[in-house]
Amino acid sequence: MLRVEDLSVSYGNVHALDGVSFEVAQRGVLHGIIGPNGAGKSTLMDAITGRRKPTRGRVWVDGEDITQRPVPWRRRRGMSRSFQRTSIFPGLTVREQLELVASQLDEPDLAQIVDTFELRDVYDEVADSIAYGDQRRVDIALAMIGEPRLMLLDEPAAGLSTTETIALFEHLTVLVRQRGVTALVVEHDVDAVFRFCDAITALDLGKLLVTGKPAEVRADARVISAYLGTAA
Amino acid sequence: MNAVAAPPSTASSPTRARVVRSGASSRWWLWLLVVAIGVFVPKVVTSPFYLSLVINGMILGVAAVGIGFLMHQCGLVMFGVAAFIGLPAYLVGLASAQLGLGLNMAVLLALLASTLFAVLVGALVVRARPLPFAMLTLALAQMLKSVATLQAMRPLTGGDDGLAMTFNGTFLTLTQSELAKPAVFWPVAWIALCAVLTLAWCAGRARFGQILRATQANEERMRFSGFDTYVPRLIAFTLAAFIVSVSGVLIALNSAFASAELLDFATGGHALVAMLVGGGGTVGGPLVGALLYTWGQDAFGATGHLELFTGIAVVAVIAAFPQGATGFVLQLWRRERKADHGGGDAARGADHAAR
Repeated sequence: MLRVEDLSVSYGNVHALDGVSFEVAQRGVLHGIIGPNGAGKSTLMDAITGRRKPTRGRVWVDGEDITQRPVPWRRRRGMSRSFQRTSIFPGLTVREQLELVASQLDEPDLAQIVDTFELRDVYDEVADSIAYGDQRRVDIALAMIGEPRLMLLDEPAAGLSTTETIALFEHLTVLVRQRGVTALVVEHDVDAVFRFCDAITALDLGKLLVTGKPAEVRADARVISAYLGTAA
Repeated sequence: MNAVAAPPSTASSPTRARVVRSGASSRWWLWLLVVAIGVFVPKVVTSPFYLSLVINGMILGVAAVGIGFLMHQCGLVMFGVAAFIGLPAYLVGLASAQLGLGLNMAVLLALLASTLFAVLVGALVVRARPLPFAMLTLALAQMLKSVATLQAMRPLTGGDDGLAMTFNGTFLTLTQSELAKPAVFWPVAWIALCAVLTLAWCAGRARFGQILRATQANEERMRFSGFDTYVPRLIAFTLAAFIVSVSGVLIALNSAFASAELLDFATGGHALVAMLVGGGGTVGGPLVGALLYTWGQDAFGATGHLELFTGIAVVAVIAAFPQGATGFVLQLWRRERKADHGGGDAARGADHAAR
């Protein structure tokens, strides 16, 4: 499904991402990306989605090298993402923006997405006038449109309460399973990641620490030392 | 494109859809009626002075509609709007004098060449952020002005003296001397104005307009939603430049004269100020601004203190109505509707009408 090969991003002498390689073979899974601040999680998302050009390495999706492909091409071919900061279309109603993107990406069942993310109540509201939690859900709903094969979600639960975070991950799990989407999720809420993700990749200082099942990652000494601490 | 299964709501019910379609259809008929009646204004207003004044306002309005469209849809302000006023005006004269074309063909060629020029310029400048974009277009206009006044160009452009035109044949059966008469020229200016208003309104209401506004709101999200954001902006720039070019052609037809002044920032400045006075948030706003501005110029000019009073009036209007005159009226109307209906639907309806 997704293969990242020796992926590196440098800003001058600073190596934000340094030779990261891992693979997500299965469809319909949630794959968590964890690590302390500055670990390179968002840079990894940017490099995979084409927002930032890698200085070295390759990104493969379903056996195709997409490293040089532009962002809109990747999206039309089924790679979507949400951002650390909510990224919606202020000034447009929830309906207008979801329908606009749905028409571009030939989404066959927008109603299901609207229902799953419980957006019906705010459907005709201007997006920047609705509650932050609703805006987050609009953001992820936008990423869910067009039957993506691969979704990259950068801190989807940022700013949400524990209850909202759990609800969001439950929604995601349902959609991922129903639609056979592979979702890469960067998230600081470690409890949610270990509870909901099928596999986890841990990074530190731009380098890969470990990739594996949640239990394996939780038990890894390097992850404990760099991120989880002894309390985990 | 597959049909999108939108969630059911009152807005998408078949009855509501029929009502909306019927409302839209009657609005079109009403608009056509206004266009048709407007042609006959010279039968009622016989004063050449007032007709001429309003014609000047309408020509300025055409240019203001063009830049208003670009500003509202893309958030880009074209400081160098004069380039697309002066260039087609010169081209009408050059096509007549140098190529020996009939007036109809000269007008077509001028519009086509100016629009093609916009495509080339737009390909370079629409990637720029708003401020560099504004300055790049300004540099372009000033560059064209310099070219027009070059000594080497004097045989073609007339240099600082300008280009006095002698047309070959007629424009839609109207001779050069007839085009100079306000009552005869009125239908030409009126229909051109109505055509560009319709064009700008349709483009803004279409999916194309929605793409432009969404790109303006969040370009990165648009790209991550599978949209190419460059081409639509290039098309919008070209469309705006085409609309502005119509005003240049109208000036040439009416005055049979083009000068480097048309390429000066001041010419574009009038259109920009008119757009700000009327409000760029609606298609008709810039036209209202242009009519007010032209009337103000005439009234203030009579006092002998044109620049002073124009400056005071413009500052006062923009300070009092930051969204322009039409923006203010729309806001009032929206408040009234909201008070009457007590809901968000009315306000949303007003928002859609504004686009």
